[in-house]
Formats: sequence, structure tokens, C-alpha cells
Amino acid sequence: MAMSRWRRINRFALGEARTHKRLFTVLNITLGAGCLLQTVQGLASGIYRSNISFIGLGLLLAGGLIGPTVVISVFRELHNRQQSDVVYSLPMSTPERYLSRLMAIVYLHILPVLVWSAVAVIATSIRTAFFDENVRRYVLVTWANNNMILRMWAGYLAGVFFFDSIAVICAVCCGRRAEIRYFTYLLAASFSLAPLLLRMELMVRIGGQATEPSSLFYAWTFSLFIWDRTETMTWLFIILAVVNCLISVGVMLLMYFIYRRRDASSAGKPVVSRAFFEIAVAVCLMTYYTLLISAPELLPYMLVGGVVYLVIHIVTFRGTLSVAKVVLWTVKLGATTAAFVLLLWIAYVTDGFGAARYLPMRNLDNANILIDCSYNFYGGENTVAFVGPDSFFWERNYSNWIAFDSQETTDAQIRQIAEVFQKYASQRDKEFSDFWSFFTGSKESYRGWDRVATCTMNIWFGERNNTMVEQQINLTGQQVRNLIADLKKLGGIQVR
Amino acid sequence: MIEITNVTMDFVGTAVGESKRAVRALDDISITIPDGCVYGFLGSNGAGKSTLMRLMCGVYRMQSGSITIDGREVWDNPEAKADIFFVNDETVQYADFTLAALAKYFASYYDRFSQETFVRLIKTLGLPTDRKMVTFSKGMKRQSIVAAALSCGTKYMVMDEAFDGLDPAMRKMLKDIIVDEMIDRNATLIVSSHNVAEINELCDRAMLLHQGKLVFDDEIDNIRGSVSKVQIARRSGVVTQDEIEALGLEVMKYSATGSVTQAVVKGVGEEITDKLEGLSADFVELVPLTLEEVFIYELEARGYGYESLAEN
Repeated sequence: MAMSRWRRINRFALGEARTHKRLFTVLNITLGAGCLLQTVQGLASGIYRSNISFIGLGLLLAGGLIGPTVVISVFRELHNRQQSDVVYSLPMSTPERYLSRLMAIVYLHILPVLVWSAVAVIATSIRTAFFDENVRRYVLVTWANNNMILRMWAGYLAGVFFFDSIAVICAVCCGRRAEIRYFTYLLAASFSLAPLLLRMELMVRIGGQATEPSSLFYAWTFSLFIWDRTETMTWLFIILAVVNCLISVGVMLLMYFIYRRRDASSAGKPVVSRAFFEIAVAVCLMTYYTLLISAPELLPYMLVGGVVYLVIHIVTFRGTLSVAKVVLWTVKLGATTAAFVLLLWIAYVTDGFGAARYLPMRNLDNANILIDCSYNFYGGENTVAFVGPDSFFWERNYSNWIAFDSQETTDAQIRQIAEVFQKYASQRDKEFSDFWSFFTGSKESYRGWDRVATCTMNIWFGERNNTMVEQQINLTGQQVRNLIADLKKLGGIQVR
Repeated sequence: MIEITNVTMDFVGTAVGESKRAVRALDDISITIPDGCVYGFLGSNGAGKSTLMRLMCGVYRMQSGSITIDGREVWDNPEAKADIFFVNDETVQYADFTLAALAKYFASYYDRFSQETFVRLIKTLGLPTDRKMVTFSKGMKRQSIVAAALSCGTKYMVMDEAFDGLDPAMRKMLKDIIVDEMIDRNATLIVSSHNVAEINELCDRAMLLHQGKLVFDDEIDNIRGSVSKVQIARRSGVVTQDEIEALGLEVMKYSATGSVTQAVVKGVGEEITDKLEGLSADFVELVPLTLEEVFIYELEARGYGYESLAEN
């Protein structure tokens, strides 16, 4: 029974896929050309050739980004009235129709992307192994090259799945072709940027959370490899990419629950799901605002976001447009902006929603820790450095950084020291002027009797430049002294 | 048999930016379409014919009531939908298909699709199989879709204004092909058209919709016989509408010139003449109506005539 149902769905999917031959051909030519260029790149250009063909990768990427066009074509019954008459009258149940659509996307887009990119990866690996002079000389380069190629491939596929799933969300929730297209691009950009921006701006910059430069980016995003900040954890990255792909597939399957509520009467109408519209517009606006607060000179561009917000509303509601509605949307825009500022303030007051007290949960045995505080004082730099335990404590009045060797510590010791530092991270004086200075760029403001000192905690394994955790907070001079006193009190810490 | 029971359909603006005011497209419609007949859907513009057809084919979801095909609810039911084929009034959706691709497309969905029938019909119609339909004339596109529809082997075929815009020769050819094929299979054809004469010529049964409500549903002969025009002459004075109505007849249209009265009344011929004997008229004549005239008088009686529209 299940098998015959599956066969039916597959037959419907193939029937649907056959109607998009032109799109399929264009896609395969694009991907094939990309694969060919990537494979032959550098074969004729000497010893020091690159493994990357930017035109080749560009074509492979273009083939990946064609996803929304495929999705729009396949889900044509949702935005085209004439097509909806044909498709809805065909002898299929709603689950069969929906699954056959997803299968058609697999046949038309996912499979070609998978096959051509796999061919490009295998061919590039073989080429580098057999033809590259530097690979022949240094065997390690093969691993490094293949490592990089594998990561790019995994990230690329995760990105393609992500983009297709966003397109499916928009296709199912929108009634017009143009809406599906522009919401797909807006949401894909927002969902990709929002987690990174929110963490970097709200939790790290404003909230004072410890950053982990070597960590993977745990988010559902396009494209994973763009945000990849690791160099060594290839398999973890690939697992993360696979998880991303599975999330995308899960999202596509979940959209059935909205799809099943539709019939041909909603084809060609504006955004069908009100909830989708409100969420999508708010997410895009918030992401845009978060992008702007990273640099004070970008803040005036908030106005552009506001204008686009109103234009999207006017275009979507053009059938029932009135002055009262425009006023209402302007008020909503103001409320959304106020909510965003409130969110920033909460992040500030709660130290990044409590994230400033968080240390990455991994085994920190044999790590090194360094805390140093510096503040401007009549043009000079006073640095208070704490390196512990079994290391030394240093106070200095000159600007050069201090070279040192420290003893390795246990996980428990590192956490004990970090806890003291992070206690001060959450004890910062919360003042509006300080909060506001995050957006005006004037952090070196007077604060009562003392100047602001910037204290940094670094935890790392091995060399200094491989810093694993970095946390930065601003304290007053008195708080710095108290911090040093507290650190000195810790047992087992030798201060030089 | 298709049974349509108490079907009501409201279009409510569910999309963002749409008016939330409900527009009633169909209001408590109940009809039965027997097997093996040619059934005509008549109605004014916006009466709800296309909406009812889409509901019958599972294109729209039912809000209230039920539509069954041989006892099976049609919405979201592949078994029921495998027995019905919908040809709407457009052809643009097939523009990118060649006829070979069109046949393959429908063969993927309809288990009973007959390639042999398709090839035979295409040959009969003289249509090219290798050219995209976008290059076809309107008549050729219609013929192609009808050929594909007939090849799907469904028991019911629903055609929404499928003959509109075709020249008389093309209409006749297409109708002949459809009727021949449908008769061979004892299949049922349901057509809507604004051309009442065409329905009159093609159909065994018909129904009339106006503003979402059912006006009548019967065999064509009964419909024609259900309304008559009478001419009454009385020297002693003109016959008034009240006088006719006092005899228990429903007057749909009334006019008087001198001593001659013309009225369109509901009822069967003999029943009307029997009742009119009570008027002591010098002359009573019953004029049979065409289906088109019945259509016009029925709608005029509901305020859809030239005079009513002109007043508005």
C-alpha cells in the first residue's frame, strides 16, 4: 500500500518535472559549465595555480541559487489561476500533490546540484592529487586542499537546501509570483544574517559575551561555509552541514500544514498567510536594523528600511489601500523600531541575556588564561595583566604587550578564574549614556571620577594567536582594582 | 451520478490586504446530474456557474453542503477525481506543451489515459504533435485539450465555456467529436455556456443560476414548457395583470396595447389555457417559448433585464 502510494507520488513528480524541461536544461548547462571550469582551472597555468575557479564556482553557485525559480515553477498552482484549475482537478490527494511537488524539486534542482557538484569535487580532488606540482611535493597539501573542498561542498549543499526551503515557505504562504520571489531573497538574507548579527551585536558587543573565534556557526543559514570560522574541524562542519540540510527538509515537510489549508481560490491573491506576512516583515526589519547598529555611520539608513517597510505594505495592500492604513503602518513601524531599541536595552541590562556569565562548555584542561585591563590616561596606557594560575601578575605603565610563558591549568581552575572575571562583567554600571555610546561610537567617555578601562579575558590552547575564548568588558578604575584584588585572593595562584 | 446537496460557497478575503467582506457565490444549491446525459449550466455573468464547476472538480474546497461523484465526496479524493475532467475557459496553461508532452502529462495522472484514443483524435482533427501549443490557433488549442480530456477516460467531463470564441464550424466539429466519444462510453458531459441556443441544441437537461441561487433544474423540454407567452384579446376591456394572477397564475412579464394583452406566465400549456377561460376573453393564444426566451424572462423576473439594469 505504502509502496504503491510512493510509486504514485513518484509518477506524479516525474510528470510534473517533465513539464519544466527548459528550466532543467538551463540549470544543467549552468552547473555543467561550472563543474568543467572548476575542474580544468589552472591545468595550463604553471606550478602555483589555484584550486579555485571563481567563474566555475560562480556558475555552480548560480545553479544553486536558481532554486526559487524552480520552486515557483513547480508550485505554480499557488500563484497562477489557470494552472490551479488544472492542478487541483487532477486525481491527487493533497499530501500526494504536496509530496510530488517536493519530489519534483528534488528531480529538477537538488539532484542536478548534487551530481554536478559531486563531479566537480571528485574531479578537482583528482586533479590536485595528480597534476598539481605543489601537491606532489607536499603530501599534506592534498589533505588541506581536499579538506577545504569538502567543507565548501558541504556548505554549498546546505545553502542550496536552505534557499530551496525558504522558497517553499514563501511559495506556500504567498499568492503572487513576485511576492514569493522577493520574500524568498529577503527572508533568506534575514535568516542567514540574523543569528550571527544578533549574537555579535546584542550578546557580544552590547552584552559582553565571550566570543569563541574557533567555534562553528550553529545556525540554519545560507550559506554555512560563508560563516565557517574553523580550520580544523572538517567532520564536525560536515555534520553541521548535514544537520542544516535535514532542518531544511524538515521545514519543507512542515509547510504541508499550511499548504493543505489552501485551494485554488487563493491563487494569485496577495500574501495568503497573515502570520507569515507579519513575521517576515518584522524579521527582515529587525535584521536590517541589527546590521546597521554595527556601525554608527550606517544608522541614518534606518530610514531606508522604514521606507521599504511602508512600500511593501502599500504594494501588498494595494487592493484596500487607505490613508488610515498608511498611518497605522507608520505607527506599527514606529512600534517595531521601539521594540528593537527595547530589545537592545534588555540585552544591555541583562548582559546579553545572561550570556556574559557563560563560558563555552568544553574541556579546558591545559588551557592558558590571561586577563589584562588597559585604560587611557593622559595619552598613555596603563595595563593591569593577570595571568594565572602558576603564572604571574603584572601591573605596568607602558604600552607594549608583555611576553610571557604560563603554566597550563586544569579546567576547574580556568572556570574559577573566569567566574571572577564574569562576575564583574555583569556588575557594570548600567547607564543610558553608556548604552547609547554603543551606537555613537564614543566609548572613551568619562565616568565620574575614573576613566573606563577595557578588560579582556583570553583563554587559549598553545600559541597566543590561537585564542579560543575572548571576552571584553568595560570597567571603572575602581572595579579594575577590585577585580585584581579578587583574583589575588584565589588560592593556588602565584602572582609575580 | 453527481449529487450536489445544499452547497453554499462564500468567498471571504482571507489574503492580506483583501476585503474581509464575504461574497456569496452559491447559495444552498441542490441538483442531481444523472449518468449518461449532457447537462447544461446556464446563468447570468457572475451567477456562480464556474464556481460550482470548480467545486464539482475538487478545485475549490467546499464550505458547506456536499458534492459526491457516484457516492464519493469529491474534495481531496483522488478516486472520485479520477472520474471527472475539468476543461476551463483558458488555454494559456498548456502553452509550453507539445501534444506529445500534453499526452504524457495527463497519462502521469490518469490511470485510464488511452494513448490510442489520443492519437486517433489528433489524427481526426489534423493537429501537429511536434509543435508547441503556443503556436496553435485558439480553435486548435481547444481541440487539443478536448482530445486530451477525452483520452483520459473519465466518466464525467466538465467544460466551462469551452466553445466560446470559436467559429460556428469549429464549434460544430468539436461538439460532434465530444458527443460521439461520450455516447460511446455512456459518459456524462457538463457544459456551461452563455450561448443558450447551444445548450438547447446540445443538452438533455439544464439548470439556471442567478446570483448564486438555483432558478430551475430540469429536462430541456420541461423547461421550455414551464413558461408560456399568452396573447389575450378582450373587447370589453383590457385584461389586467391582477386578473390573471387572480386565476392562480404567476405572471413574469405583462404588457397591454389597446385591447390586446401579452403576458409571460409560468405553468404548462393546457393548465394555463384552462385557467384563462375564466377571463371571458374573445381570443386566447399560447405562444411556445425557446430556451433563450425562458432564460431571459426568468432573469428579467429577477431584476436582470434591460429595463432593470438601465434603471440602476
